Amino acid sequence: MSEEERKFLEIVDLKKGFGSGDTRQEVLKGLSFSVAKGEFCVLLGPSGSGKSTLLNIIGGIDNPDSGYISINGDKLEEMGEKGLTQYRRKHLGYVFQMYNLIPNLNVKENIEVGAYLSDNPLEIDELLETLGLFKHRYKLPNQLSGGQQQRVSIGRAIVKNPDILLCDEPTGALDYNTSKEILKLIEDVNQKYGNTIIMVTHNEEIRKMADHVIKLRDGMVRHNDINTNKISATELDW
Amino acid sequence: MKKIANPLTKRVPRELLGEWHKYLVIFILLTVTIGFVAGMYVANHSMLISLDLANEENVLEDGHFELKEKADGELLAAISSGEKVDLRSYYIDEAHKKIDEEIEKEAPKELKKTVEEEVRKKVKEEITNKVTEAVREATAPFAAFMTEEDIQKQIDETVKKTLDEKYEDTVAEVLPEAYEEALKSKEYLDEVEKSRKEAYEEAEDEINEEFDKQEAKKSRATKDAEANFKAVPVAIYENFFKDVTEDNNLDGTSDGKVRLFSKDDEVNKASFLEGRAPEADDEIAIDRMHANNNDLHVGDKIRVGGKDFTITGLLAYVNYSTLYEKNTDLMFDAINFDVAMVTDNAWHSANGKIHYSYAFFYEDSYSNEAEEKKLSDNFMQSLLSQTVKAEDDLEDYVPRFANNAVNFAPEDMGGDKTMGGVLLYILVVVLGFIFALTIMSTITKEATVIGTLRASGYTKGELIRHYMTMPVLVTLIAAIVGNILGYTLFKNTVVNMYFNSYSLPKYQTFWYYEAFLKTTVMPVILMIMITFFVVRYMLRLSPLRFLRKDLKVTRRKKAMRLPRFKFMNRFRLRVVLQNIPNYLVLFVGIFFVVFMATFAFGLKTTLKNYQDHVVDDMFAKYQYVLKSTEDEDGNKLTTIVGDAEQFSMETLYTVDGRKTDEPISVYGIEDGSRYIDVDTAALTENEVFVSSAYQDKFKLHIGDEITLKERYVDNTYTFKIAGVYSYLGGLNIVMGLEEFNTTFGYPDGSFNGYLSNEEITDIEEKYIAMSITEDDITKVSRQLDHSMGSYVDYFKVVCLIFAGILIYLLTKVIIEKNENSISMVKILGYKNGEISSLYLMSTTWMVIISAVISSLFGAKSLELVWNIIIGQMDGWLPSYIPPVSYVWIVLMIIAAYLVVMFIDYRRICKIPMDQALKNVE
Repeated sequence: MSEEERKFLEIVDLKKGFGSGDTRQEVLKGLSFSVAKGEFCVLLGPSGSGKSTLLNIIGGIDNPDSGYISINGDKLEEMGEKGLTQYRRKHLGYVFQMYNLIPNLNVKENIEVGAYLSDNPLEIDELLETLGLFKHRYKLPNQLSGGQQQRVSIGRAIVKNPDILLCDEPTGALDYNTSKEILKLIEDVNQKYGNTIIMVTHNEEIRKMADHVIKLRDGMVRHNDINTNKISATELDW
Repeated sequence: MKKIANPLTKRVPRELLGEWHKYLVIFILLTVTIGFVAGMYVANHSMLISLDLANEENVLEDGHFELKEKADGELLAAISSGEKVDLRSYYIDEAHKKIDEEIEKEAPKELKKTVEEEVRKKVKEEITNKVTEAVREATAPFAAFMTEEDIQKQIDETVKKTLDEKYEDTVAEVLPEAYEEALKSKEYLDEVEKSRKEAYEEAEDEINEEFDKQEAKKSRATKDAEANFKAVPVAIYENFFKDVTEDNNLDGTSDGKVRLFSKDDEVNKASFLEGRAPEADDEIAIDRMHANNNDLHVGDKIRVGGKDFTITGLLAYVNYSTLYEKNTDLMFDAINFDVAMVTDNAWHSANGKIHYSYAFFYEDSYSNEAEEKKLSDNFMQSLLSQTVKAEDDLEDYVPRFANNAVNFAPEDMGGDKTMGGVLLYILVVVLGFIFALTIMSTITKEATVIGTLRASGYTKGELIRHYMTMPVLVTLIAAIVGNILGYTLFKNTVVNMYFNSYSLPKYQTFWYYEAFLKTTVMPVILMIMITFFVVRYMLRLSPLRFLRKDLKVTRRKKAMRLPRFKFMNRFRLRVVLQNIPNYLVLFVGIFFVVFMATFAFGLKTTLKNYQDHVVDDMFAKYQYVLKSTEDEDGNKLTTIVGDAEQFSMETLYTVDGRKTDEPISVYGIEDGSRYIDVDTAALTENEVFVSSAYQDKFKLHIGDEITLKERYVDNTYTFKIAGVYSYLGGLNIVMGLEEFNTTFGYPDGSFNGYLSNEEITDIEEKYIAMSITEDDITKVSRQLDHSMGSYVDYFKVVCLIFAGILIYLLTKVIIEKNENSISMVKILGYKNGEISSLYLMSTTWMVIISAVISSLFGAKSLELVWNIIIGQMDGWLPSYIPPVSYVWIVLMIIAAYLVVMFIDYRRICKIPMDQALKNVE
């Protein structure tokens, strides 16, 4: 792996706080790490550790107070609003804890919402098969279970074949089995399409399936480990 | 894989289907309004073109004038030339001629008398001398025997005898020669010249003085116009008419007046809308509008001027598209006034004074009203001078641009168009805001989806376009369908409305780009603008804020503290506070409806109020303006009616203020008049009282100076307002009769009319120029009532429906916004009735408050708009809406709301309990 690929995503001395005066709270206190291209990176940490804030900054929907993030050598802070939109459009896929599907579009159409943004989207029917949603493709979101809805939301994110897939607690609202199914799906996607995945979770077990585990606490990186013995999502247990 | 189409567009039809009630209502509202306004524009434009075509086809005059006596060929030729007579030189030349004639006639007579006296004296002297000498010579030898006395006696006797015998013969013999000689004498010639010169000078001084006086009164504009005079040659055609009585039901009583024209007239011809022109001498074609108003049809018999005629056709004279009897009338009268065509024979045999009206056509063309006015001003100078020179009287002069009978209809139709356009735009704005609220509610509901899409890379522009699609699409389709309906269905409605008010020629439809632009393109642009700004405003926040559903600009740290009301009331107040933008739009919508309803309710009350006041305010039941105060034999016209009181009236015109060229009647009344309750005796020079209508329209105050001018000659008069008297029927001013005569230069004791509460029957009609009765004075309100009254009730229903629709749309937004809460309180165990009382009661309060406030402001707004409309017309008709009308308006809105409340109640009942559970995100 080249140096460039190793530092595909580079985070340097990132700081972010909220509020002002006495109520000011520093959420990120100078984080630095890098993520290699195609890596499955898990951001772990308790509530309030700054995981989601970090993910939002990486996603270009929030700004750091200082420090910078560069993707493939391009610094986000230099992009401006339009540039950031383009960055998200071309390079990022987002999966949230809540699925945020469009209620009056069916499964396939919800996925097309993502495909529309890409010049080179994945084959939708093939993706639907991968997601296990092909037979449900004409159903509306309210006809699906939570897990199925999250699959759609993952489909919507990866259909544009993004360089980076950002997942914010994607299993947070799901039961054990469904969570495992979703994690397996994300793993499969990572393997099949080679996207870099950054997943925020507070579930310690998930670290086992990651290539790279970053543990945050109080806005600082407490652990930055490369997992050489990763296991499949199906083997996870919590 | 090829680039796929934006999947968000697939939402549009689904949303349309999902919310079809709402979009259908908005669509219908927009379509109907756009259709009606487009219909109005198309009908208006097409009617105007049809009018123009008819004007050309039927040879509409450039103007007309009426002479007291029929003009001879010489006068017509002189008028046609457009040349102006220099009246001052003309009068001087005339005076010179008269003096010359006088001198030619009188001077020789005088000379002859003088010469004869002289000759007689000389002959007598000579005879006496010769006789004396002869007698003395003869008596000289007898001088001693005769006394001087005897000699003298003989001389006297001989002189007497000789004179008796020879004097006359000698005089007759000498006189001619002496006279001839005297005629040639330098003295005589000098004397004649001297007298001539003196007489010339005297006459010139007199004429110059008179003209200088007139000159001094002329305004600068008149002087300029005179200085820049250019001959305007015209072609002149006879367009004589007779005004006779019309008895529509042959019951022997007159139902109105009909103006008869001959079928043979070459100009100002008529279009036939039904039937044909008269062919026999007992056939008549009458005005179509008048016929409609009086339920007359082809084939009916009517009595005109005492003779029975059969109606063969219904027509529209090109110069009477609006049935104005006189151009100075406040309002047209298509009910009691008619214009009609009879055969030339029938015309000649009809009883009635011939009005020598001549239509004229400029030889020079003009392209706008300013040029036309210039031509008219020049022509009028020529016409006036030529008429004076020919010793005829100019009774009337009406250039086309000032002819109400020709211009009122097209101008009024234009006014409708403006009003329709304004109403359309207001409605589009109101609907735009309703859409905006819907969009705001949708955006709030879909905040996390929007956040996700933005986070995924959707641009703001893409989302703005997406959320704008629906309102713009609905407006666009409504505009297109509305336009089609405008050209087909609504056009006819508007055309019928026009045909119900005016005497118009046949209608043809023409394509009108402005209608398309103003009723299709403009509403869509307006909708695009409103929704664009609202959507852009809503989407200005960062994706993160959307993901967090954090859309409030100002975040209240704590909920506003409410007074210690009961729980239910506090809950309702919270609903109001949460929905302030919705209630604001509800207020604007209700205000719009109230404004229209105020117009609908106010029109009739305004007319009724005017009618009541105007009759009460009338100076006298009868008001006669005489053509002259002496009959043909020079006897003063008097009446035995003891009630009658002399007065004088002149019409002057405004030069500034709210409206120029507005006719103002100037009354001169006897001090202590029984009919007009003002103290003219207390007025000083140039002080006058003004009518309340004049004061109201021109916003005058006591102490203000008003300047008025004469119509054609432009002499100006300035008066000071000493007081105001209650009189709504017209714009007039009052002064003492004596002051009136001084002001207008009439001899002392002059007057030109009678005021009387009893009808005056002992003055022949031919001496009466104008009589004003209750009927004349209420003409304006009757006509307005007739042409608009029937639409008013229809309009009220439209307002009711509008109110219902607007309230429906807004309450729908409010309920949708609160669906989750409603669902939640259902889970908590609240019954539908309780929930409805919580959510609907707040809206009920707001509807009632909005209706009441709007009513209060509505009156003021209507007054403003009404004043603008009426201010453009001659005369004054103040708006009047009694408080009870507002009660009706509020009740009407509440009635509309009750229907909506029922629908809303059902909607609340239908909200499922799991709604709240599904959407807990």
